[in-house]
Amino acid sequence: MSIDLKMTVSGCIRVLVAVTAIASLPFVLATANIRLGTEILILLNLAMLWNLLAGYAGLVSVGQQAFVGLGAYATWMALVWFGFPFWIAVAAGALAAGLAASAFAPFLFRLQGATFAIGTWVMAEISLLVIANTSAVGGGAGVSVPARIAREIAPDRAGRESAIFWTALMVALVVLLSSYLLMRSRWGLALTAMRDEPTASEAVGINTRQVAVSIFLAVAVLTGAVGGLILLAKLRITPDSAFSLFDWTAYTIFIVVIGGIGRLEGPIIGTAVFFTLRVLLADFGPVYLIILGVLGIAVMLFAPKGIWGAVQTRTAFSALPVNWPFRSIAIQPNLKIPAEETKQ
Amino acid sequence: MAHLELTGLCKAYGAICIADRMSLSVPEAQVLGIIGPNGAGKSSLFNMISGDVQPDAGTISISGRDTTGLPSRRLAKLGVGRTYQIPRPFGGMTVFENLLVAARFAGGLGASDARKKCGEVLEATELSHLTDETAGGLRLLDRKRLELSRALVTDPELLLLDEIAGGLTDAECISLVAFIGELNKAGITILWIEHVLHALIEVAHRVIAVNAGQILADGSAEDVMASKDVREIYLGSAEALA
Ligand SMILES: Nc1ncnc2c1ncn2[C@@H]1O[C@H](COP(=O)(O)OP(=O)(O)O)[C@@H](O)[C@H]1O
Ligand SMILES: [Mg+2]
Repeated sequence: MSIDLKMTVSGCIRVLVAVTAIASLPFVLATANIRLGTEILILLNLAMLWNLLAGYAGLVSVGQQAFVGLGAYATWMALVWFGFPFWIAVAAGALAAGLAASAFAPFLFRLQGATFAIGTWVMAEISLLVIANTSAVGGGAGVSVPARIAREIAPDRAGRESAIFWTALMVALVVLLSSYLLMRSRWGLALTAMRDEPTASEAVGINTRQVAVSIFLAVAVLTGAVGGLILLAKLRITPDSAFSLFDWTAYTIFIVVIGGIGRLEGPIIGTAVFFTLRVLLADFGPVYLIILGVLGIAVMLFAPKGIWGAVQTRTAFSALPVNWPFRSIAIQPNLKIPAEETKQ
Repeated sequence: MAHLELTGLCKAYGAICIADRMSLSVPEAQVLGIIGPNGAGKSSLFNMISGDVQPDAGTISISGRDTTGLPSRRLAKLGVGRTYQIPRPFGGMTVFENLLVAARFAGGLGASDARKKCGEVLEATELSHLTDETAGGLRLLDRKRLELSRALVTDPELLLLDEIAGGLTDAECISLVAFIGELNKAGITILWIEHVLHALIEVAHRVIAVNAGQILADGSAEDVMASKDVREIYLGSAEALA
């Protein structure tokens, strides 16, 4: 147990140091860079959530933009129609996405594998069409947050960008911590078992449908919150931007795949690589996308476990260990031997 | 009361009949050997008992309780453990995690009890040296051992073993037979499908031969092997009995 505990404590300290450092960034950065930070956190959140779904539970969704969009629109309604404070509005976005997910789940979970993926895409298209045809939320033209309400978040621009950055950071922490705790619990074992072998999972007592639906709903709720963050960051959304397959799902999948799918560290590495490339290749226009594509394919071919997977196999290092090492506990009897020897 | 009771069990996959009004009663703590040619429906019979597949008609009861139609996860909690002929490991998890998940869910054990149990079972099935290996990378024999270990951590009362002796060396086979004997002495009822007949005969109190959904012969190992029907099915493989 002691080795286990040490790993947990040192992991916590690492995370704490990192969080404190990141949280103090708005005090030193220019407003434009705070914005970039928020954007990074938003994609990191989406990547962590998609990784939980596809990497750990084996539920490959290409329709998560449904929950981003619905979360963004619900947040807008809570802000503008009901005048809620912005963080309650984000919670409303999360709730709305969760409700939508529970409405879609009975249909989606009749499908498996590739058809499940197609089902999620259909789900996103339906959500987009419903919003685009609802005139109360601006139809195809979209909606924006009035300046009056934006000022309620914080009176000046820098203050607002900082507030949104910290909210995004909070969501990232919630996602990271809950993923970590989940993966350390028996439900984490159930998720990976279900991903690897559904039939055998049932045979060892797991209700695979219940596990799959639960993770799908939980991920949808948090994805809805990220949708709320996106609204706050942009202040103006249209159906096409809020439900963008490209921005909220394709980039996310790229990030997870190159970082390392099925590993908590994967999305973090992937996000770092993605934004580094974006900055480096900013002047190349469309060539940038081609390079991303080529890189994605190269990683899939030569390092199928992603960058982090490749690092791990070479060094056996894990910053956020969620596996259940046996030796640390089982060899306890051996740990007692020196004590007996000193007695003699 | 019989531990396992099948009554008028029927199952067909299209034209292929797996069980044709099959009835069978297995008393507690019996080791029942099941033989029959490939495609006879032996594994499918296990699938029905373990709840992986539902029969078309008939009933299955365990210790007097009607379990027909229950899903496998419920049966696993009611003390039914099984191995798959073609192993189904959780490939991305370690050997230890494979056991742990079974002990936590089907076994209903808490975190520390489950760890202890898994350690004991790995010791007993001689897999401890592979504890932290990824299950997907194991060779076939170790996968089969993993199947058995994963079933055992749930403390089954009724254990279904599907061809676990194939490919073992003579020495390994002897120790497997001894191990199964010990499990049985601890009170576990065992149904064992096996082509390695000399191993099966060592521990089976009773053997049934199945083909085309029927039980052709039922009795002591000697009687079943001697039966005319069985010899006909195993046509040309009579030397396997030697
Ligand atoms: N899910 C299934 N769908 C269709 N046919 C099946 C299925 N499962 C088994 N069968 C068929 O049932 C027959 C019996 O298979 P099985 O029970 O595996 O036999 P055994 O274990 O005795 O070799 C085989 O012909 C097999 O092809
Ligand atoms: Mg078989």
